[in-house]
Amino acid sequence: MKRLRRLIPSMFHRRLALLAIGGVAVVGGLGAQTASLTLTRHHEMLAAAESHLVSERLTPTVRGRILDRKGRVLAEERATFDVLIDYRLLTGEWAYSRAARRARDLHAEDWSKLDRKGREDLIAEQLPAYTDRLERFSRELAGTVGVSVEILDERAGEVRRHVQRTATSVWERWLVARREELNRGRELATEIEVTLADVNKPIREQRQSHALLTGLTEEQAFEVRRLLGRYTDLHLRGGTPGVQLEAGGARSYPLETVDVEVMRDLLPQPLRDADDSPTRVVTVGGLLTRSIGWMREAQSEDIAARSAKRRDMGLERREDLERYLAGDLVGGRGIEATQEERLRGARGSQSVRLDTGETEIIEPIAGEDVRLTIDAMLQARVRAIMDPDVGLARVQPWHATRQGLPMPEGTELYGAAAVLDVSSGDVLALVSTPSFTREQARTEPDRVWNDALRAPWVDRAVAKPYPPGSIIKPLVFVAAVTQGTHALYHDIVCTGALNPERPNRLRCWIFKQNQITHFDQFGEGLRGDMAISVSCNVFFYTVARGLGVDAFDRWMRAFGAGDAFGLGIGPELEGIVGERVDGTRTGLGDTIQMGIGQGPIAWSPLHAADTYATLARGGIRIVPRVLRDDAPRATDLGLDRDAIDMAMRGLELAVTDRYGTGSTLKYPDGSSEPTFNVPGVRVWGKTGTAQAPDLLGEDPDGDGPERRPVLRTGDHSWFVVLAGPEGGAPRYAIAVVMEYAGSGGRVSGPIANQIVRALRDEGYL
Amino acid sequence: MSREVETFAEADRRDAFADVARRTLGSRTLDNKATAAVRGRVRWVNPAWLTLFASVALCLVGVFAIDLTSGLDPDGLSFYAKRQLVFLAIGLVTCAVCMTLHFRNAAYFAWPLAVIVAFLLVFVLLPFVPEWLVLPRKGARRWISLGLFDLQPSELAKVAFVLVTAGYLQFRESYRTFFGLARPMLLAAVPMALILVEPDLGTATLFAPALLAMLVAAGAKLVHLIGTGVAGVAFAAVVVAVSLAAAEQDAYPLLRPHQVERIQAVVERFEGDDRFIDSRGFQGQQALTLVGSGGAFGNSEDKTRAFVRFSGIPEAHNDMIFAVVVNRWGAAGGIVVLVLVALWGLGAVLTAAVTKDPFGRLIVVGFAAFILSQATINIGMTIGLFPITGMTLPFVSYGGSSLVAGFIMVGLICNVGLRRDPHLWRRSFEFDDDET
Repeated sequence: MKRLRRLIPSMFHRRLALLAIGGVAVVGGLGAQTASLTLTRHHEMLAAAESHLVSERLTPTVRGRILDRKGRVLAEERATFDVLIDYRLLTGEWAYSRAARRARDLHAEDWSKLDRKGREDLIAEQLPAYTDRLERFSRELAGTVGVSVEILDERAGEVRRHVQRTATSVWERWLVARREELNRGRELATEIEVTLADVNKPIREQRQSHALLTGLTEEQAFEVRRLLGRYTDLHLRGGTPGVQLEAGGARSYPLETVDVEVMRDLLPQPLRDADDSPTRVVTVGGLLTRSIGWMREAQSEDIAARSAKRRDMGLERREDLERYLAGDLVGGRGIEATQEERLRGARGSQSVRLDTGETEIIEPIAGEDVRLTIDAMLQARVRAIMDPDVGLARVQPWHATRQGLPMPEGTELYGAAAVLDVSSGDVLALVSTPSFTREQARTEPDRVWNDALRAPWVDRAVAKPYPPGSIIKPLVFVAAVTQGTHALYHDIVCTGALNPERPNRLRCWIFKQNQITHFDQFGEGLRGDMAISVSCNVFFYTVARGLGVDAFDRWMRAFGAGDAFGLGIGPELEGIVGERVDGTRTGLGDTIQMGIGQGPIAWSPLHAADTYATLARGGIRIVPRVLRDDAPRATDLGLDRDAIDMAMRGLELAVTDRYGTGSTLKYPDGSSEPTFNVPGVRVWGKTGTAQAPDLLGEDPDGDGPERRPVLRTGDHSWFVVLAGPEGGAPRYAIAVVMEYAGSGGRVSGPIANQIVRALRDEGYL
Repeated sequence: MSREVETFAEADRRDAFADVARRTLGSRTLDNKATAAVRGRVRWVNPAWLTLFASVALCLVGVFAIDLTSGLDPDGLSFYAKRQLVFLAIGLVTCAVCMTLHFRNAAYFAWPLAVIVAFLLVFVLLPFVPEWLVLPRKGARRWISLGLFDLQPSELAKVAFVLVTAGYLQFRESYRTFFGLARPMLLAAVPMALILVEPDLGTATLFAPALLAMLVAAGAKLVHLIGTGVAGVAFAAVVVAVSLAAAEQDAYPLLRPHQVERIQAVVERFEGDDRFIDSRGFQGQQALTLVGSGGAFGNSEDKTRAFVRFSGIPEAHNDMIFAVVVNRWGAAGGIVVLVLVALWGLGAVLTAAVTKDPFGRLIVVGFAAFILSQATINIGMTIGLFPITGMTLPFVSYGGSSLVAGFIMVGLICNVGLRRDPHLWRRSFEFDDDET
């Protein structure tokens, strides 16, 4: 201080110096911040500034079509128009803010003096004018489009509910994330309290337009445009229009519902005789609904996922014309979802540099078409065959075994069928009943999503596990011979049970049902072909035991059991091989069980068709595909050709020989007829009657699993067929499973027969 | 030589600060009494010219920048730029007028001027005043329409306040006691309160640093000032905190909603919260974008015109002019403006340093405090340090009242610079006791 006084003796000058230093410091600080902004954040800010110079208009693209193997259109974009409304108009936020602005303008001079209550009163005075205006608009819009105001209100309510639900779940997620973020590393300290109020910033959906009316025609759109011309005041702050008309393609599925004629002439006799008319028309609804999927509105997650993906690809800064915008539709399920990238296409853009007037036009890129291997008409025919109205998928008197009917006569049966082209592995049809239409999914969600018995949402053809039962037997035989654990011509004597000492365990079906053995029937041991044909359990217990645990599992996996196909149609079942429910490895006892397709093994009908197609190809496996653009994946399993020949002989005997399990339909009146009766077609096949766990319903009172009601009980009915022209090789593999339907031969056999017929009617045979 | 004269002569010799100023500015000639006698009592070479020079330079920068805000295709100088040139001319004339009479005469006009200004400040608030005379803009009643330009009484209030306060402080010592500070503070409270209700929080705030600077210069005890300052800042902090907290509940007991929003916008920007960037943070964000996109050396004229035009930034020619300057001329341009502002201040400080007249010293300090704090707040809000408040950048922003008021101050500063101190003038504000 003294030195300072010596240096600047005048107090006033010292004070001036103090002020000057303060001023210099402040100016220096400002300079530093200016330099920091301009030098370090220059690029970011320049990009932001440049972005204001470009006005961009996006031009719509067209989503690709989905076509069946013959080029029939399964899904396409129809040129339509949507009326989009901003969420803030639906919630009253718009009316309120307009009223508030008006009130403020009218009372500008006292506005600043008013308290909150006073202002609210003034706003409330103005509010009716704007709510009335919205209501009038709503009425006129309804009139213009030709719907009732109630429907419009209901749709608005749906949008509100949807957005609120989304907001709630988004906020909850934010809340959890925020809580974690704040309390990370504070395990020992007091937790920082985070409430919903800390995270409830408006989500994107609350600041966006939503489709109020969709699928308007050109004429309707014209009228709506005129209407909007009279309601130009329905805009938000900053001039964003509150209501817009947008050209939005509606996705249409022309073949979702088709009528199919089912010929009666080759049906089982009782059904043939039930009616005089030669045909029956079945309306098939929801054709391929699950596989093709449907569209839903893009949500924050889609938009975020898209930008995250681009960030990973390092494309963040570039204009993304494929990005999702509010109101965009995105594939929600099935092929629409899995092939989203191909189908979507990219918008075009017309951007104008506001300063130079330079225009840049990027043409939209239409989405690619996706072609399926499925034949829609064959699919429709198979669906029709499996419709309970035709009679095959209902409990019929001839389904009765010695134990009687599995369920009361007339009960509807549900199941699945898969049809494969042997030469290519193409899936020709993939049917699961019951099905549902997209409309039903919207209007009767409970029936579609909450019915445990009918379970329409489950694609039984690929996504539900069924124990294979006896249809696994030819595979076990071929595997054992190839492995060398079973000699091709080796006979095995059926003794009724694997261990005659313990006749109550591991029995042959014939012994269980009729108290006789196949030795009693034929007086000799059974060779492979015969054993397949009569489906002798003892034979296959023995063969599987010889094969052993590891080899059995390995072979089944080689056949494809235990792998998903990656079809691109949604969830698939991988299949279960050699793994108990609790995850432990199986032992020899399990392997013996698996020899007849019971125990810890389960697969889907497509797995079944796939393995039989592999047999038909002489041991070459081609992974089934639904998308034609998927490259075929083939592997030679190196199976013993003679074993395959013998298995094929057994399969043919099974459906032609009088002892064959799948050859004859016997009726209660004592008459009978061959199961397969399509002229000019050669058939190989195998029945399967697989013991299944009971189908349980939802726990009604929710207090534990033990009280769940039993909805269905009994055996699944399998039939796998290979079909080819008379005198030729097998060309198509067909697998049918009917849930809890009992005997494979009696229930699924006639269905498989009708599918063979459908193949012929569609020109495949 | 009398004892008193000796003392002053010694003091004069020891006065290193003033010596430095005189040497650098060639005042050696001024020490030549013969020369001084020839030129009367006018000191032609003086540091106040620096302030005038900086004012005119800032003004010219402003005219170019204002022109940039006129749109994409300029057809000669824009309307606003031309008007600003006219204001500059009026300002210079006013400046010259303010230099003519000896600045001490201003002390006599101080109180009448203050009364007139106070009347005008009340006048704009009167509810029955017709709108053609006082047109509320964006809810604020600050301007009186005078045809050619709009008079903003709060600008005149700054001048009046400085004159009155300087007049009050010049011969007193009472403010060196804690309670003696009350009166000068009361002097500031009157215009502040009237301007606050306009409402114009920004301008009202400026009176605090101006008073503080004048008190510091006049030798008020720093302990008192710091104590009062801390209390004031604490009070402001409480007001802000309460307002922010109340705003969460949608209540605005102390500050008005738009003021709270602007504070929130700054808080959010520092927190990196970009939720409201398109609403309450919009102006601030656009200003930052304009500043940041300027880079080191700025953009071409066309580019800047386009950026300004399409950023949609409100008040580009006015409150946000610094953003335009930096966008056009980059960090370099921004720093030139800051250097000019500093030069302006330097001129004022040196003028205060070379004069001995207590009134002159204080008005120079008061004016400098007003101009510099206004520039600081304006630039600070443009570059995101302070909340947005409707405040112009002195001499650069468009606006007649502000410019003319600015030149009145410059004129008076020059006036102080021009007048040679009479011989044997008592050196003011020198106190021997502990100055803290």
